[in-house]
Amino acid sequence: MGNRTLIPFGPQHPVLPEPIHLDLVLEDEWVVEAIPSIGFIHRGLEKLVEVKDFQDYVYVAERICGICSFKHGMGYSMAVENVMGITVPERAEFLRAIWGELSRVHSHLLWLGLAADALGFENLFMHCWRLRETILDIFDMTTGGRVIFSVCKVGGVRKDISAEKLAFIRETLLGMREELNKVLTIFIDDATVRNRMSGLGYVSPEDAHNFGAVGPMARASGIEMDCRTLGYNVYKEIGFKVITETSGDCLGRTKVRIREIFNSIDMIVNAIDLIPKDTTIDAPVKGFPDGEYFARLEQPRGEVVYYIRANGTKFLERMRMRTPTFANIPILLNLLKGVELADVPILVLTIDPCISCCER
Amino acid sequence: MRRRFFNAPMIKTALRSLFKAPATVKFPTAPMEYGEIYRGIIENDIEACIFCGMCVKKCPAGVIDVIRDEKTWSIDRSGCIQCANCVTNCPKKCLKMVNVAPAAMTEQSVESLVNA
Ligand code: SF4
Ligand code: SF4
Repeated sequence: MGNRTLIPFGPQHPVLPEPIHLDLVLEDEWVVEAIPSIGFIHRGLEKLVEVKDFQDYVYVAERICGICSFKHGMGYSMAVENVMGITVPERAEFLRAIWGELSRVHSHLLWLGLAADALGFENLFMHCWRLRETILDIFDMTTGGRVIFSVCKVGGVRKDISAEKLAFIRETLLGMREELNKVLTIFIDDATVRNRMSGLGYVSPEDAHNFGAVGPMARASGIEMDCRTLGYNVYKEIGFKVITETSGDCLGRTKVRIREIFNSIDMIVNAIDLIPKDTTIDAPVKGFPDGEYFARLEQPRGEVVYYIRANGTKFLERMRMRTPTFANIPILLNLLKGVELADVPILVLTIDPCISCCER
Repeated sequence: MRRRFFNAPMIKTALRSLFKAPATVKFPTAPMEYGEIYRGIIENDIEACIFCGMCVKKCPAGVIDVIRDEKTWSIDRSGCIQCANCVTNCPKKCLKMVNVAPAAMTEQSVESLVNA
């Protein structure tokens, strides 16, 4: 047995976008155990549901996280709509799908940039974020915000997208495809990236299943698990495909995210083609919710679960959520056993950690 | 495994960027452009306001305050999350969002408007 050392990793670390803390127990250069601690940015947002009007809470829910903000607002709204038996107008569902999938493209491009940065590939990082900027401009143009949209509400959406803007989005995305192809093939073709990521952090399908991995983490190990198959929203109509890889390593997870970007673009284009002309974008909300509901939906990072319990007043009794990062921490800890210290940053990054969602 | 150390796609991309205009904006010298519907700061047309307090009730951040007797409407801009919920719910439609980002501030202050 070599010398045992304990290295604290995070919450402040150059490679970490968010504050997670791991105590790494090392034997020489090898990690034998990783002990996590979270809770550095707990803000008590779930508790806030007890004192905010259930309709106004959407704007708080959105601010749980800056990257999947739209999906948080949508998850909360879906849960309340199901308790109250509200049917969301079709156009609103399409608009939600468009914004939701644009969020996925922007989240994955952000992750790819961060991954390139963690590898020391600054040039690639800049290109990924340059492309992401196009998506942020679309958000700015359609919602008035770059990362927090405040367009989702209980019963539908608050803003419509005009036909000209939809046509512009379609054009922009189709034009972007080629550019994306050029930049993103570098992740697959480049020797630097491949040598660094291929075979690193292998997760077998059994492990992914046993540790409850979600999102690209599970799909890269060949598990066909995606909440968009559950039939919420309009995913059935707009050409959604479950994207899986079989390699189970860091490169596999990168490939899943890259292919999802292209699938999302296809879905947005289809949604724009199929969006109903009827301009109703919200259903009236009458009375107060009473009952409970479990909403499951797919965020860019994986499955998120919203649980709400209402008691017939304007304040909900309880709201709890399980975020994809929380679900992916067990598999990460397993993954870290036996790797070299130098591989820890990229492996932590590979689950696409979003600690602010995780801690609320 | 055959290793390719000469990376054509990256070199091509890098070279192309060399001859293109920068993707970034030179911010302090070039003016900042906000989109048409950019959610910026809240303004109140105090002449039209009836001090009903609807915006106070609807603000998720709790940054608006209304004193009906003194005909005062005030906002703590540092706490505003720019959700526009107050604008949507104002019965007199006297609140609006201007497409300018809130200015940086060195200390927290509450801005008050009085309908004299
Ligand atoms: S809701 Fe409108 S009218 Fe009522 S107090 Fe607020 S700004 Fe004034
Ligand atoms: S924009 Fe939102 S947070 Fe800001 S004052 Fe209006 S309701 Fe409150």
